[in-house]
Amino acid sequence: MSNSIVATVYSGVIRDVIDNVRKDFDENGVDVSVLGELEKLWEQKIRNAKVAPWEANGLTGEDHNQNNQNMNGGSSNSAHYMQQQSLQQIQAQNDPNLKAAASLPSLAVNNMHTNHNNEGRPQPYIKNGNIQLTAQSSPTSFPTSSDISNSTPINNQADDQKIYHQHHQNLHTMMGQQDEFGNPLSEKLIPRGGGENSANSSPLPEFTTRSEPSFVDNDDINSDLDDTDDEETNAEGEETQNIILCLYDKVTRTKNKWKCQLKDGIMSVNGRDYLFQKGNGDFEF
Amino acid sequence: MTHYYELYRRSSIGVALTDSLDELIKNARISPQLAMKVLLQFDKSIAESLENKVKHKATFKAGHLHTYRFCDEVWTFIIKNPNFKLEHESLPVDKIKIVACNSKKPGEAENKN
Repeated sequence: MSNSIVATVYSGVIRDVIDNVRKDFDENGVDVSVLGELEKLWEQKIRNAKVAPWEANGLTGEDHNQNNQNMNGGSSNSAHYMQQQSLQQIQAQNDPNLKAAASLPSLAVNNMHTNHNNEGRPQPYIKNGNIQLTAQSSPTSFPTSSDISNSTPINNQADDQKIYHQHHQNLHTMMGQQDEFGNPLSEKLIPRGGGENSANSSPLPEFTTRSEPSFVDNDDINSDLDDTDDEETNAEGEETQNIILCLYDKVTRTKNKWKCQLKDGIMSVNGRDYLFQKGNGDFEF
Repeated sequence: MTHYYELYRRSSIGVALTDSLDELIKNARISPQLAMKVLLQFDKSIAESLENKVKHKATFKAGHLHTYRFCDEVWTFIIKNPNFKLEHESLPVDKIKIVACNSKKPGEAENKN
């Protein structure tokens, strides 16, 4: 099977990342056990996504339970797959939320649930039961107002990590800050990274969430791009899980004939991942 | 540190990592700053792995190019019904979206269009 390499490459990446951030954990005074935890979480999640045949590589081992739990979803059915993912998210997030929101436990849980149903609404109180949080989470999770609120969360989040909850847009707003720390600004040129991530991490319905973080993490130029993108996604509904993330060497066009030379691609097709080193495309517009 | 694209963060392995980091941050196990470092390392690791470890070739032929867009050095295509092959194995797809960043690193990309 041509995606058998996926598990190998992915576990290689996991190992590489874990090895290379060890020093960062040290410098931050974070215990090594947390690093181990990260590795475990990461591996579990990617396995549960069932995008690649981990079994074939003898990498399954102790994770049979998780895999079995996900059998009903069926990896080839992408709709199920998405649903399952968000279910997992909810499950995964519930525990810590309950703990964190000890002061307002029932509120927190209730809000978790209402928010899934009312996608357009702000999400108050969810994570920490912290009042300050309300002011922040509302704009970030509220699609239409998110662009206005770009700068507010950045400032507040900088020093108070508690306010950081599981929304990825926060991660990505941090990214915006990181620019000053030597990260080239042009990183922002990759517009939709945050969007997809958040769509998967947030339990909200995917098409709505996809648009929100895009507004948040990309101001100015990119928001325009994301905008069109999202409209498209919304207009055409399903099937956008089939995606290729790659680099291009060359894209040429003669009349309506397009040729592209692509490389270093990760494809997600019908719930499975495939990798390619080189890809050639010929299309007609 | 050389620049690497964040593009792959939206792949399944990237999403899995981001979700994991989020969980840890939520439980106050790590700081968002540290999570950023992990993600930056991920950008690097995945890019290098794809470049060095993967040898497969893919072709897409005769697809109908439904949408194309070029903005900020990023190409986005939506292809309908491509005849799509990976190492001679056909993959049936009715629609696929391609998001492609310039293979020239952003720094050098300026002179090329």
